[in-house]
Amino acid sequence: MCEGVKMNIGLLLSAIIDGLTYAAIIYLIAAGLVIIFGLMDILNFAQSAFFMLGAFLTISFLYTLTENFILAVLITTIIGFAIGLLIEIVLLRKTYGNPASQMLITLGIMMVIIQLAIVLWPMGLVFPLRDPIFVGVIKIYDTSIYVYKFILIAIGFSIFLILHSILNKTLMGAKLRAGIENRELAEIFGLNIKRTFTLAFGTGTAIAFFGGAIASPLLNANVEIGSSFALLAFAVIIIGGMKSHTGAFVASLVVGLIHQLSAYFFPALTFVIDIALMILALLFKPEGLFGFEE
Amino acid sequence: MAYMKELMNRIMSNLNVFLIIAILFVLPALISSPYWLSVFSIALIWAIFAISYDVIFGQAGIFNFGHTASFGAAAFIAGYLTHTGFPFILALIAGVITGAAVSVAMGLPARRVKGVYYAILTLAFAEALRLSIENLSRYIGTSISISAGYPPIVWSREFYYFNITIAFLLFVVMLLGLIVRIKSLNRISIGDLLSVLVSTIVIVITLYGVINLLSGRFIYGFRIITVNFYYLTLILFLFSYYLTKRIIYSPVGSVWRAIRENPTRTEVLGYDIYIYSLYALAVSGALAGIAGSLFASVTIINSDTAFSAMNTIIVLLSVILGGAGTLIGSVIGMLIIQILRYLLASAPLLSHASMAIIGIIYIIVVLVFPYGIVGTWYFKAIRLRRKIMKILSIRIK
Repeated sequence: MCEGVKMNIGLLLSAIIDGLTYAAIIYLIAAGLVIIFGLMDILNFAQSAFFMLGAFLTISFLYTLTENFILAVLITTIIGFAIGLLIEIVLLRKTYGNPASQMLITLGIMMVIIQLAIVLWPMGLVFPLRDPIFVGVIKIYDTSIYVYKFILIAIGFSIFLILHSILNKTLMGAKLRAGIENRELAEIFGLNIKRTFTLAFGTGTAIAFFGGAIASPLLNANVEIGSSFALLAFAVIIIGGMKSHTGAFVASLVVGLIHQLSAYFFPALTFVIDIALMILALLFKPEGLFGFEE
Repeated sequence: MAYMKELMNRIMSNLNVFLIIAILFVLPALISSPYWLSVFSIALIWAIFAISYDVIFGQAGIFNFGHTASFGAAAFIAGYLTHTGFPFILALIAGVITGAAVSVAMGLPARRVKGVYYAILTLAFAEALRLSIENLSRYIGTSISISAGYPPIVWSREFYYFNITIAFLLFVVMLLGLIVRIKSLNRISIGDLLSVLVSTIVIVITLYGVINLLSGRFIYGFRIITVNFYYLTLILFLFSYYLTKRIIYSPVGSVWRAIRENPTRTEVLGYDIYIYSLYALAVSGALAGIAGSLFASVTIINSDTAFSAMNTIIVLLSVILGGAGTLIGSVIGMLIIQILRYLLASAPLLSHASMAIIGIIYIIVVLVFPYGIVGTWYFKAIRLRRKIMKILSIRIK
């Protein structure tokens, strides 16, 4: 404990709520990463750029098209899905069987999106709506906490439950899981691997856009939000296992809480602790907590 | 006499290299604007960085996404030493050692962590350095940045005349080489004619450049700094390029390429992959250290300029653009990127979108020319090259 920081229950509670909020945001980036990596072996570097673009798009829709937040989020998510499909069909399909160059392409996409965002919105965008749901606070133990944080946490958890049940209960999920476990065998048993890849990439992208959209009331939109969360999302998929959806969720909780607790109580070491955790996980359990050996 | 003949043979077989070096040495006399000369110096610094990345990524096939850590650490150390008044050569040596040490430190987990995992690990390492410096500066309340300025050597006239002497020596050597070549020709082909023509033009340009440089136009005011700094980067660039070329065509370099192509087989053949990878990382880190030490002279070094992930992406781009593993390709790719960047920066509408345009070009290159510019020329354009060779070898009666 640093000197000068008095441990009290309100501060701790605030840190935990912030940690859970972070966990929800990180999970929404990492979920797409694990689905895409699990199926296609691509480490999608553009995921955080998609997240950032989602925040930018939502806020610009709120300025120009509609006052309705839910509608803006919906439009952003649909656009994200379309962009994912387009990128998969136009760019990635040409380089199937060569994960290294697919990774390089996603790196290029990331760079183009970030640079375009710098050109289009050099000062960033501020979330415009001032409804009580976005700016209202709850007072617990003398600490004010934004109501919207609780909503964000709830959305994160429900997205996990929805994705979990899609993966485990539906036919589509069974196909995806089959592709993740053993791609060649699934192909032999008649899985249309191209369509599955396209769908997976589109879904992963859409989740990232959705994440950016619903996080925009808290984070606003600027060019930096992508890069800091990208690092945390990478830490999450390393710790949780590169191909495990449940692992990503659990690791998001761990990383989000540790990140915020360290930010509250050891501010000089904020990111260093997360990265140290990730390096330890890589050294001692390279396949991740929930990963399976290939 | 036999020794002279041997030397002459050597020069003649490498005449093209001499031509390029000579042009580079008289470039200040050919480019009239100091702005573009300093752009070229910066491009050469980045080219050293690109060479260093080609050693690990192109030769040894290691996915190091945090290569900017060695570059930035060297820039910090060398910049600090230059700032406090140490001679540039000591700062450079310190930078090289720092770069190599950081790079090897990043390579230590490589025995267990491979491929994509290693990419993430190194990316995280570089980002951790960047963020901890940022956190630290927030903690102590002042921004941590170093502006070292040019090393004192750029003020000295001796250094200027030393470089003119080299340009003049190159002129003499090329002239002798050309005379020997013309004397040894008995039946002339189009290729010979072309090469004699080009050599003559370059020799004349070199003579013009040397006279122009000697006229003293450049040794007044700010010009001598720009010109001398250009020479400093050029000499270090040529040194790095030559050294790297010697290393990658040595047996060690073959082992690196073997690791890139098939690590398992290389291991079975009895090479310790881990040690060889560390060796590649050390060489590459040292080269990045040279680039970083020079970089500290041209810009303000802070957590963002030194450790930004964009630095790694730019060198990765240049290596892919030029062709991974071809060494000269990384240099060409980097020169294209930097010159394009500054050209677009002066264009009215595209000034801020330059990196986005470079990114789009890069995606197209990955899709259409997976071997890069030089790689496509080497491996894919065999038929075209054969055709050109055929035309060049037609004899003239």
